[in-house]
Amino acid sequence: MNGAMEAQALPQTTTVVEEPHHGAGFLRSYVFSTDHKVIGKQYLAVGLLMSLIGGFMAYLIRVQLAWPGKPLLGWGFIPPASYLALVTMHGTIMVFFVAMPILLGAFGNFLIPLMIGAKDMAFPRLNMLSIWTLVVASTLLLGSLFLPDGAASAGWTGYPPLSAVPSYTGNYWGINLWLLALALEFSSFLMGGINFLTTAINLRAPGMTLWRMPLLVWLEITASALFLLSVGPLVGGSIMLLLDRIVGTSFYNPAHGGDPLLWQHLFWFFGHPEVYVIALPAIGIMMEILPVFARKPIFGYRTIVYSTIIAGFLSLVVWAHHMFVSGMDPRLATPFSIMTIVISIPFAVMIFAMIATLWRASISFTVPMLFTLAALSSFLIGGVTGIFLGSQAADIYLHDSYFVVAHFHYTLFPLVFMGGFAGVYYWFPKMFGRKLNPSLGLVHCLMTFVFFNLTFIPLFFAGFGGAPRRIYFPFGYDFLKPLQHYQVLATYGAILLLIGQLPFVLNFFLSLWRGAPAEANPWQANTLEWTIASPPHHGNFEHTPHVVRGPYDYSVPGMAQDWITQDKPVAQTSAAV
Amino acid sequence: MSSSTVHDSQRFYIEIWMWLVGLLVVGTVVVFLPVPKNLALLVVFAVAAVKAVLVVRNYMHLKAEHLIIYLIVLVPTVLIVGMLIALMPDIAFRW
Amino acid sequence: MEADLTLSPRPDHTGPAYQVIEPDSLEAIPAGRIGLWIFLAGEIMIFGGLISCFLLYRIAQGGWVADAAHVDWQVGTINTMVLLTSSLTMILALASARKDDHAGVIRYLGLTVGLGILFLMVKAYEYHGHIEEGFTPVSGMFWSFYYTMTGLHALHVAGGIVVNTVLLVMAVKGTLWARNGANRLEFAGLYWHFVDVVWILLFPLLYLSLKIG
Repeated sequence: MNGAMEAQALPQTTTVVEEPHHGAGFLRSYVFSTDHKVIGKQYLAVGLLMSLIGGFMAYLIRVQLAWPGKPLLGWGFIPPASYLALVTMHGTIMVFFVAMPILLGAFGNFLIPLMIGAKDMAFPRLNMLSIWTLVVASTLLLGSLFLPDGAASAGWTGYPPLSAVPSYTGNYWGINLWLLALALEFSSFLMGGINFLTTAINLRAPGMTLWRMPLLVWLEITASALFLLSVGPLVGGSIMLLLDRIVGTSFYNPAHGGDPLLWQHLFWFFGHPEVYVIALPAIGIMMEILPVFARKPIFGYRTIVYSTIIAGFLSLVVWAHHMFVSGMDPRLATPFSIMTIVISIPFAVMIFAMIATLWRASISFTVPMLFTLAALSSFLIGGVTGIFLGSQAADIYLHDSYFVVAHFHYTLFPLVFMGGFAGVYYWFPKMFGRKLNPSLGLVHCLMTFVFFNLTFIPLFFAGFGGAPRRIYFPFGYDFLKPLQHYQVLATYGAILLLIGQLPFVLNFFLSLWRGAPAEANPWQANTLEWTIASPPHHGNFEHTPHVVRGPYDYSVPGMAQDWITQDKPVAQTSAAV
Repeated sequence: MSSSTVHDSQRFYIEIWMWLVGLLVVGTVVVFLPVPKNLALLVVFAVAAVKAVLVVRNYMHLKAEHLIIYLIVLVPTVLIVGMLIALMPDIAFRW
Repeated sequence: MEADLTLSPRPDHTGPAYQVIEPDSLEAIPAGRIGLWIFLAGEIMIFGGLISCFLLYRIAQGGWVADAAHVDWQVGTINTMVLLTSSLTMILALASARKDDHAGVIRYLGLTVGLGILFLMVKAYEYHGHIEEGFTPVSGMFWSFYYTMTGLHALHVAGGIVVNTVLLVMAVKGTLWARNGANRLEFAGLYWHFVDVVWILLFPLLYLSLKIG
């Protein structure tokens, strides 16, 4: 890696800054590193690895649903309890061990210090603790798959009394380990959140005012703050659930005075902001990529920031739209319904801002741009279908049906995977000093986009038809039989979608070792991370950057070139590249 | 480097402590006085609130801090109160 | 306007190598202080959530008064005194550090650690008494909450004692002063005062409010 880097380093970055790890062994430099760039890549590794496992679980679920009762290719027969464990673990892994590690852990850690001109995060050792806590959490969770009684099987939402009384699920340590793994995951991202927020507040380079920060940084720190504010009550609630299981308290057991509804409130008070914790960084990635490949400033920078903050606050008061049919006080339904519809406004503003950025732009259809466009269009469908679910009257019918499944996959998948892939293809050169193969990337993008839609569009129809989620054996219900062809179609889509990820896996590893070496700024982008070597040296910036402009000065009239980095002094703009 | 280092005197901190102890006594004694139940409850929690504010303002130096630290404390507090109120119809008044 | 690059070089290269005071941005607050307050915001949500659940169930159910009668308010009051005083000694330790009074730091920090340990010992004595009388976490909803809330709080006290002990050892060995000692004491103090504030709220909830009338 060093050899390729030296050959590509631009003159101002050949001098290596401080190298405290100089001569340090493999362990200190790559395993127990406090360097945010290494930690970011470690988060990426965890997220990508877990996505393979979560994706395989999705395959098993889909095959079981399409051809119920038949043994699965590559696995064998799945008993009902295992199916419930599958849906539980698929959801838990994807939300907590794929989406958050990739979008927050990887991109946040790698990019925030670089984008604001800092040498590292505010608390590098805390950063290392956070990734290692996540690794321990992942190990616990994956370990639970090998328990004799099976892994957690009460849904990723873990509703009591099913989850509170071990005899109801038949598994004891599965859910206990699930709770412990989640507690550790929460701690990991709480630590990360403290780091992100403090870094963005305190370590911005001179001239990097809040209003000159790239949007990704704004969105990452809003997501971190949102996570911090919403997870607390659930931590308390999870302690209560764990005590119910292990000690025999009755916090959620109605037989002895507990209230199962309390868990639902605590869970969704966190659960809803959680989906925006995932969404905001992904939107941030899209907002970084769009201006670069449209060669136009992002439309409405400040409006986007205000919308983000408003969406963040609103997300804290919409949670009961997950509980319309739970038996909660019906008078709560209307205010939550209204707030849910209202929260679509700031997101609509962000979507319009992205579209406006593309309006009359000079678009290059690079792989990151294609993924961003794919994400934008698919997310739109997800968002619109959310309005149906947010209206309490419609939700009475649609709750817990496949319509919900399709809705949240249409929001989460485009953001996490298409947005995430966009980010990987875009920042891979910076992270690893190599370029990903664009042809393989194009194949990956097309297959992902087409087969994702093939998988989940049928599920909207199945849901409208009344197909409930988390059902192991659809053939057991007569009314589901006419809907079975939707399930089969979705499964074909899912299998092809998974196969479509192979070009990416191939591309990733081939490029890591034999990709074309990347220069400092292959995309001709403005943000600070592109002013230094690919990959950056330890300590990032040899000289502290002095920021003189915002991040989106593309195609400024009268300038020689259509881009200019944030730290380039005005006097030099008349010179050619 | 620190912008708001407060150098209160040792005497000041001890004074605050005496207030805290005094309030502790008041709050505990009122439980056993023959006053209406709601008044006693009010006093007990008001005392707790005042003690908390005294510690946060004076020992944690919130009084000298930048606005952002106030916000960092205020927002979660408001959120918790909001969540508590929102959950009352459903959990507190169910039975 | 020239930015003022305030440097705090650390020989072990950990932590930020500079902190910038930007003319038109926020007043520079030490990163550790911001980080700690943000951490406390998260803790407010955790304890606040538990306390809210307690209040909600308390309003929903009756009959906790009988259970709560077995909680000894006198022992609780003593423990509250212990923790309040430990807050005082903690802030006095910080004040000593600011005055470069090394002996004072050791004295007051030692007292804080001692009082913290005393708090836990009293708590253990209480738990022992309750269990002897047959009141375990499964003896009723009040007891479930009592053990959960005081237990979580006690864990936080224990954590604080560990941190304070580490700082005490560093103070005694003389290594505290070289490494931003006053700042570290300040941050540990913020955490310790927070733990005190949580107890200030738990005490009336668990020991007093159910004894009225």
